[in-house]
Amino acid sequence: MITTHKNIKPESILLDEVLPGGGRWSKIIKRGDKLRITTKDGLGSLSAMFYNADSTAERFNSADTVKLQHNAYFGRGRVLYSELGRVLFSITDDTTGGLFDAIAGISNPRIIKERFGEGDFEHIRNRYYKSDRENFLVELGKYGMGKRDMIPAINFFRKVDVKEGSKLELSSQRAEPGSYIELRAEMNVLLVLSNTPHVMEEGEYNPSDVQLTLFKAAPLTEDDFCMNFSPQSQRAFINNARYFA
Amino acid sequence: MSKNIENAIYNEKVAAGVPWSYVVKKGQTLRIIDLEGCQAVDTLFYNANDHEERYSANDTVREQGSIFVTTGTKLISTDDNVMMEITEDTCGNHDTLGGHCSAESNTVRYSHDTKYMHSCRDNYLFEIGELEMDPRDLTNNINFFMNVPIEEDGYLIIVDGISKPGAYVDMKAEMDTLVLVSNCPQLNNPCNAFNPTPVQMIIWDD
Repeated sequence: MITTHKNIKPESILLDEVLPGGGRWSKIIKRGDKLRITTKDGLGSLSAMFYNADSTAERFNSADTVKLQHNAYFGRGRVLYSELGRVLFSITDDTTGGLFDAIAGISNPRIIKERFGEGDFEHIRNRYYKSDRENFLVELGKYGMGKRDMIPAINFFRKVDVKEGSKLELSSQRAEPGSYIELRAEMNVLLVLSNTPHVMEEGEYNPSDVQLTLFKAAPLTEDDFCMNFSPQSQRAFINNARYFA
Repeated sequence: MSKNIENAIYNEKVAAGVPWSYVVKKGQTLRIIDLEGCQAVDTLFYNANDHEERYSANDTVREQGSIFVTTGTKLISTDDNVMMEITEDTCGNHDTLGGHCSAESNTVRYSHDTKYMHSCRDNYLFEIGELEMDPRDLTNNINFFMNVPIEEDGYLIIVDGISKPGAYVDMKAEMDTLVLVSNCPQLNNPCNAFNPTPVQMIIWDD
């Protein structure tokens, strides 16, 4: 476990924990708080689904997010939209070099078995090979949510390249050890995470631990980097302000 | 059975800017004709017997290794089943990334003045309401006849269409599939040449 975090005052930390490889996690991130997700060995790979915690019919919309930023890729300054023209999370920091993926989706038991072979509970107990589908259905169920709430996910720490205008390829680019992404909640956000290999990953089933550090952030200011990243972001933050008026 | 208008079991025009839904039975083929060219037909698919199973853009593009829908594409569901297969396509490269327009996203894309313009999401919500489905059933759709090229750095934007008048796409149902369409009413970008036009829906039995 990492005990000191660059640019985070220890007294602002609300929660600091390790999400083990294969595991699932959920929490309501309160408006204005930040979550830093760190891959200690650089080999992390997380899938995320998230919702307006106060009205979960409003959820992350990867299509709107890609369309509104005119780009299929992500990085510091970008924002993650709901389908209601509002911002759920801002990407306030990213030391991974843009390792996000909103195209390839999540794994299911068939894919895990085809890629990694048998790895059932009966034989290997709690190291059994979990899929994203299992993780999300289980974790969403705790909030009374289910298959209808299984939205197109965003993946952290891996990127899928679009080659020659159409072909999908899992990028071999990996994060440096200790690199992180940082999300600021722009409303109360229910975040659900699944820590399993990227859906296009091959080789060993060996998901890596990630660290989740939740902390109080400084209040939003007029010159905020994410809010002013583009005219689209400025208008979206107006929508958020109107929502909370 | 050869595909003649005479032996079609369904043949209806869908006006510009309106929603449409219909159950295409397993084995039947649906043809969507872009009558005047450069229209965008925002389309979603559901298992007609269990709406919780729906088209998955992620699974469809990942399994075929390409972001575009065209002849040979199998439309994969959230439950990992084939819903439909594209059997013929005279246009090519239908968009899977851009989703559908909405009043709310228009305010971000263009300006807050566009808030009261008609949109695909409003069409979907109306139709979903009439069908007594759940708004949470809405997800990333296919945009037939819409042209969204993507560059190596990820840059993408909706550009002028390449679909000629009369272009069509045929898809054969591999399960009883509820097809939900918004014949896009967007007036702010070239997805439909700034001029929404009607499309024709034709269905043939196996």
